[in-house]
Amino acid sequence: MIAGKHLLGMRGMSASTIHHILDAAEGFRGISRRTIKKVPSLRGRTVLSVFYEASTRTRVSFELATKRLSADSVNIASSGSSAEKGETLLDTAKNLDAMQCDAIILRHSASGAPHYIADRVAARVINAGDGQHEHPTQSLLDLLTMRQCFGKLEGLEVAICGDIAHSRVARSNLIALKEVGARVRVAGPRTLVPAELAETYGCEVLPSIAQAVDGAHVVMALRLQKERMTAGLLPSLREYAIEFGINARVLARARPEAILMHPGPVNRGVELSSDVVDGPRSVILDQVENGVAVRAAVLYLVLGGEAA
Amino acid sequence: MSLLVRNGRVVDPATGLDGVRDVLVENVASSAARIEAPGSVKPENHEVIDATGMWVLPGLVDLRAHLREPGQEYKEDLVTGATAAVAGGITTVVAQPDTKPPVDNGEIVDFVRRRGEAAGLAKILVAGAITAGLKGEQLAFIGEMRRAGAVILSDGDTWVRDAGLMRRALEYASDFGLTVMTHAEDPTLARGGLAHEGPMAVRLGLRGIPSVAEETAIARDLALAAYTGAKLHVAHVSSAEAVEQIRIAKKRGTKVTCDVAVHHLVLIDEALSTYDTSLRLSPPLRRSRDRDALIAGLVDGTIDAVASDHAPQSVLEKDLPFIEAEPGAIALQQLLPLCLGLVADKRIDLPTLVARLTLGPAGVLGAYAQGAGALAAGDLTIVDPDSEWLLARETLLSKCMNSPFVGRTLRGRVECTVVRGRVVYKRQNA
Repeated sequence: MIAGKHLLGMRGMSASTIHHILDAAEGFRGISRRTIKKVPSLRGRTVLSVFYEASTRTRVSFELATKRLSADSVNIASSGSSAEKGETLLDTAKNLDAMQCDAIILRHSASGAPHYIADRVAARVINAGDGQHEHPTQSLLDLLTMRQCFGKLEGLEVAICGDIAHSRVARSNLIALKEVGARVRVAGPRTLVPAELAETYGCEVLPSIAQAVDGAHVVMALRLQKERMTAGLLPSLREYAIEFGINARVLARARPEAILMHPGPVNRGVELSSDVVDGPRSVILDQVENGVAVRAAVLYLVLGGEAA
Repeated sequence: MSLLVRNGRVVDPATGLDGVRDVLVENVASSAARIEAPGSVKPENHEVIDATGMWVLPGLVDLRAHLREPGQEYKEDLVTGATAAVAGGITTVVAQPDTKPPVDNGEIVDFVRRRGEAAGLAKILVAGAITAGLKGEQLAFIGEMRRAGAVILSDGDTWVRDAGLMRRALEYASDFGLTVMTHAEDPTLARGGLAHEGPMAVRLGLRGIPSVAEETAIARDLALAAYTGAKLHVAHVSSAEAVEQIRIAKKRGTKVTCDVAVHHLVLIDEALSTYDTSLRLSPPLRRSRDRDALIAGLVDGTIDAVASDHAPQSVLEKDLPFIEAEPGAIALQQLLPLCLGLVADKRIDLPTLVARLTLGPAGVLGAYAQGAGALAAGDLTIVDPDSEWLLARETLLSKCMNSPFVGRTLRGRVECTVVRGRVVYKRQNA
């Protein structure tokens, strides 16, 4: 279980732990739907969010989760912090630790950054996304959403489409989905799908988005960063949308009951056509709602609580 | 006073000797060593070292160490570098020119050489820059540097990207009998990379450096070496295909030599799983099959030398998230024990290994090696092959401790190092 431990990634997390966290999240989801959205579970505890990268969904949902559990929260963004004065990540972390916080939520552009500070601080470290490595709470909220839609995770066919190479969401999901017994197929332009992906994760790499979507329960699109164009990995957004984007025609190849997911923020008209984002299969906003519940569950469990 | 080393297992690739002998180094002035039957030299009038049960090797020659002086003395200087070298049994070190300022003119060559001589420990030889300021734009003052004593040319950890300039560098260097050492890595393929492009880099979310970044660079440099007939040395070969490229080029008669950095002989990319920044190396650690090919190349002589590629980095460059850390690891003190692990694992026999640590690298330097690499030169390393020791902060003599082996026990310890017939290192309590 994860009680009293850091949450650095999905690697090494057992299926039973994953389901345990999702069960706890279901409990916290009810709290968010009440008029009085607050329970005293973490009263008196201090949670620091340190975000070295821009984030809306993750940062806000962690903050709401913290507040709904009655913990005290402080948010630090890299602008306006000592990172701008040249303080190292470790020094920042040690200083925050010296203020006796219970948990540090870290978003950082360097893969491995939370692992690097985890060994050196007394507080529990929760990875809110590190470079191109892992984003465990996103994976957990994705799994929660899938489990709600299908009642199970085992045996689901999940298609992850797009920029796999630069995606921490894809990596965490590839690990977690395999652990819970789902089958993952991926597809995207060859410049954005590492050659060693199948060998690394035991997933299936298919030559086209259409083939990956074929018969899938879950279609997950990933955000395409505009920097990929300047890095010479793709010729243009327009061409990406035509060749690798997911529209209603592509989505029709999935199962009738299939759901469409995206970790956000969506580039409408690029990786997803606008109509499918708003369409009946889209569970993108359910993912966002589940984000608060999953992060509440993670904070609660990491800080030593029992399952709600 | 002369020095008598008695009854050790003497391995001298220059003469093909591997047997128990006495070694007599007549005196410091001539520093010529003679090999004698055990017990045949009377111990009177000699400083005597009993090497029973130990191995007596020619002093090791290291083609590549970043000694950081001038400019980055907080990482290392020529004295601490030379101190660590002799404690590792290395008697000749080629200092890389990527200092601040870089070694790209005669005055700085002279400065480094004199500082090395003043330290009076290992022989510090100097690699001069290929291009001015290591910038890859125009030739450095190659003639002037040779006149000041430079023994080889190198642009440190930078590849000369401009093929036309590299061609001229090879041609011009050959006028002065200098070999050009290339850090073969095409930056357009390696840019931003942190680890070998393979499953481990994918898993860790680190941008990959593909083997082909090295192989395309080697292919170009081999073609230029063949075309100009000049001497090329490929530094720290790391991939299986690169070893094969050089094997073929050697068969075709291209004047090429190469070395492998010690860490690539003993580690693979799988070790990176903990984001240990001391494993961020340039070139990156590659896969198991690459390591196997490197060992095979070392055995068959495709690879001429093992280099330390000693690259001290302080906590300011290493105690950081992996992607922010600078590449490199220290290796002068660990070079021999790490290599001896390959002998213990029966991957290479001792005389062949010793050749790649002595005669091989000396051969790359040619006449500029000043006889190093053979026992007759009076540089010796005496090693206790069974002694185990802990590589720890207290035992490290470098100013930095960026080694993946810190905290590990190594087997095989240098007991005594002799340079020009003079004992420059003796282990405490030995």
